[in-house]
Amino acid sequence: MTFQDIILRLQKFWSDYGCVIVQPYDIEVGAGTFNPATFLRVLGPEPWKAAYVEPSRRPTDGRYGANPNRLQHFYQFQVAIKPAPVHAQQVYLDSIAALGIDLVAHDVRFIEDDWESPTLGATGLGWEVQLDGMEISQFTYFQQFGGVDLMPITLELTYGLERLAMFSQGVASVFDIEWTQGVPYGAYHHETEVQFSKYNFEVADTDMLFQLFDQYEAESKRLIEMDLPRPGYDYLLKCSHAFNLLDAREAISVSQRARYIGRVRALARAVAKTHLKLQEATDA
Amino acid sequence: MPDLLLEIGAEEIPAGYIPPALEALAVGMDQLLTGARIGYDGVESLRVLATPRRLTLFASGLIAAQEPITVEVSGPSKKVAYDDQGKPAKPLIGFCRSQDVALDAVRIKQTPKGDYCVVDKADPGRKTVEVLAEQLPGLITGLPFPKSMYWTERALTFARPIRNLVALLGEKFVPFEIGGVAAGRETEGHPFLAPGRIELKDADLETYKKKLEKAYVLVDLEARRDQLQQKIEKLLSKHGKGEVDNDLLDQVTLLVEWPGVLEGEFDKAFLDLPEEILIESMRYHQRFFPVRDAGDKLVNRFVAVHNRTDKQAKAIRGGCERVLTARLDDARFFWDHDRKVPLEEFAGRLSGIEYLQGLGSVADKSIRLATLCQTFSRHVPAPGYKGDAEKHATEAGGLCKADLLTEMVGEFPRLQGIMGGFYALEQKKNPEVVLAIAEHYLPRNPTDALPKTKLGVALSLADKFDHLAGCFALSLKPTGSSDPFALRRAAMGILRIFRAQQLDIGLGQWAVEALEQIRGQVDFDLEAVRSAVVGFVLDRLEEQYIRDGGDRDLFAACRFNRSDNPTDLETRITALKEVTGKPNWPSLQELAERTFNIAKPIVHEEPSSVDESLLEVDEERAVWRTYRECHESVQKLFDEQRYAEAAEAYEAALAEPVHWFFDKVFVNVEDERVRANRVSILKHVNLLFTRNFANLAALHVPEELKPQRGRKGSAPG
Repeated sequence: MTFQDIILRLQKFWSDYGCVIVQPYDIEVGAGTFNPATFLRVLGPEPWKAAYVEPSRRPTDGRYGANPNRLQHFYQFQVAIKPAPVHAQQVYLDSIAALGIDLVAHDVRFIEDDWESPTLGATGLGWEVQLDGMEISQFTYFQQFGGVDLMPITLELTYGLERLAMFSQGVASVFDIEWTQGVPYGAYHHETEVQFSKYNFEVADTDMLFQLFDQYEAESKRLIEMDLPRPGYDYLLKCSHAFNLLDAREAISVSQRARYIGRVRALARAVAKTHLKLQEATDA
Repeated sequence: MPDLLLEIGAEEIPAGYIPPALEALAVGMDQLLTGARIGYDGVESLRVLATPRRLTLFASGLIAAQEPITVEVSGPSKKVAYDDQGKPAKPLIGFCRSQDVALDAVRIKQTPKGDYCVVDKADPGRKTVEVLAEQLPGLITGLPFPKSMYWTERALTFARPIRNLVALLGEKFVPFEIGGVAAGRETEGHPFLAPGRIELKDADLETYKKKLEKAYVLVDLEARRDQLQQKIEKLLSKHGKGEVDNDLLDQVTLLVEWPGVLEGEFDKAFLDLPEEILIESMRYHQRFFPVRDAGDKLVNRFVAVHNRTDKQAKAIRGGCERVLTARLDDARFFWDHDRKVPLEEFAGRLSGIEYLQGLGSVADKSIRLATLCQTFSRHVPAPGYKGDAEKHATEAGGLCKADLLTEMVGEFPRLQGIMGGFYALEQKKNPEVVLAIAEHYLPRNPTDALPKTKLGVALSLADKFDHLAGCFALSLKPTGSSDPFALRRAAMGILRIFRAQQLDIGLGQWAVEALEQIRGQVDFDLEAVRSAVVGFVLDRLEEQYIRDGGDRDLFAACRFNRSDNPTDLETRITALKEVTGKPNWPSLQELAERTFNIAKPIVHEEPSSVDESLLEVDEERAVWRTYRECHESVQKLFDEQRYAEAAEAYEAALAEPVHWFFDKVFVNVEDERVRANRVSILKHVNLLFTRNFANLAALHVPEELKPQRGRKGSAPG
């Protein structure tokens, strides 16, 4: 199955399940969890079902296009369902079967992998799902977000689209994935990996990024204080990406690192708190 | 009498959670049944079984209803229960009505608070099934897990969501519900190979196991482990010795419901990587069993456990091979990348890693380790050693933490130290430096290997003493079971190294060296922290000794002299054990106890000197003379650590005269100077033993072994 067919199938599957098919967010994020369609929606009591592709940037994972498995930019397929359904595992497995993967012939396993995002002040319990030993998804019951204990609980499914495609197509390199007939993934993304790896590791202007981090943080705080947590959250995302770039440039010492993460987390907590406060005010 | 079968069906429970949960389930069930007066065949009859998706407990021979008992119910005091005429008054009438008993059933009971009215009420007991329905939910939801989660309601947590419950008492099912799941008589087969529900007629364990086995679930843990072991052994032994790694076997047993095994292959070219990296990738990341040839060398194959049958193995193998190849590709990338960077460069960047707040960075720690390693290496005996310890110790100390910043250790943190050694080797460092770096984290756990080279030993001790000294100086001591800085592990490591190297030195000296390094940076009382560190390490020795079945009193007796040399302490404990088995032991103990009790010596205080002009009685002269005659030769034996012989000589010389002394001499005389002089003699006598060996005063000697002496008698000639 081609890369885009996998996306289309998953979208169809989750659309049929009743999900809102949200579009990727227009700010750099490290994972689908950062999309406000997950972060802001897991808070509070309202039911929510959403599914979407999220281009995810992890500057430190760049390998100049030389490693067949690691990319600084890749695609996640993200599903968030609140409250978590009773047949969560079965629904998930059905979605994998919908990709034409024979679940009897292959070994699907749920291996303990508790999730934690120090920047989002978030935790969840669940598994990494392995297909013949390869991680293809994260399956998580969120427990806490922005420092807030959750109830109802949201189920998060994160599919590694490249992993699924490599498995489905039996190729050993991510760049050999057939995006659509005649177009390999590499044709679209190899050069971006080479250039961005150089940018992330060697070229990014660290003075500018440090400045931006401070400015984004200040703007985020200002907006949150004005009861505008949604734009405030956008600036949190910008902070987070600036931090990731600085991290890739090794501009942040290991001891400073914890402090920067703490600063982003403080924003996440403030966003969650303010968002909930506004929600409650609307409900009242 | 019916059996009980309980199965908790859940989404995949983490492997490490299962064994403790099964134990708690068995203990909890026994407590539940015993507490509820439900007799059964007892703890021995309990069986626990498990797969990742179910925890099962079986108990046999439960009685159908609780044992009836009679309960005494207390009512009003006699004073208010009867009126002046002795007739029942209101409080008593009310009490009887509320208890539904006739007035003549009341009897009077004497209590410390006075006489009270009581009635004996028969409790016929409820049906077992009712009691279980009420109490099983609490037992299940109360199981302890390292982490528990919410999935449906605030009041309910478990390791993972509970999705199915089987509870059968004989042929009946026990009705209860947890988080919307009702208990019943249906279990589930393998979710892929035999999906669907399986009805159970009754609580029969064998039928349960058989029905599940038909549905590709081998629910008996032991059976599953045995099958896996045989299959893995068979594959491994084609290439070499076929020894199965038991820890990994235990882990993978808890990851599958059906014991599938396959053999895979990877590119031979990866065998160029250090073995540790290959093992890390296979064993620790993928839980694959590495394969070795007859010469114990890794070959380019692995054995993987899967949750399918042999029929599917071929398809699964390809995926396993691809994922391992991806890992090894990464490892090669790190290996090639890290080797190009001089360790000195990584070490320089350690200034960015904070070690402990107040103690600077890991770079600062490295500087301390360089100094300490040099100092400590002088105390590590190494027969035939011809290296340049001073020079290499400094280099090893300075570089030992550099690998923390390598890509490889970032990806495989368990390889810290090991990678440092490899990179040092690649960069042509002196072999002593290479080995010291590679060995300096050892031992990482109670069964781990120990450092063997002179500098490896010195650096490992330097690392551990620096850590203990730093944490204690910052008051970061462990409390109760919480030991976030792993100080116990450091202390245990020190003890193992001391024992293996037979380092005959006090701990305090090493602690002080480490503390001197951080003086000025942290504010602390050197003497107090030194003594706290020594005490902490010796406490671990005591813990270990007692855990291994040693005698607490014996340990305390030997620790009494406050020596901080753990090797000597262990030698003395062994010797004391020997001494207590000898015929003269009761006499020796009596000698030590009597002199100790009257003289109350303090081990680190010199007794005042004895004034011979004040000696009045023959018996005291005899003791003093004997002491002076024997103390040098006894002391020499002690100094040579010939403790049992010293004890023998001590008793032989002094038991008799001291006995006569106590018989004839009154210590607490009016004349203060004479009294002090006599006490001083006894102090000298006691301290010769207590200071060098052990304080025997508190040790117990069975009555029948105690020396039988007449109270009266006369001193020999």
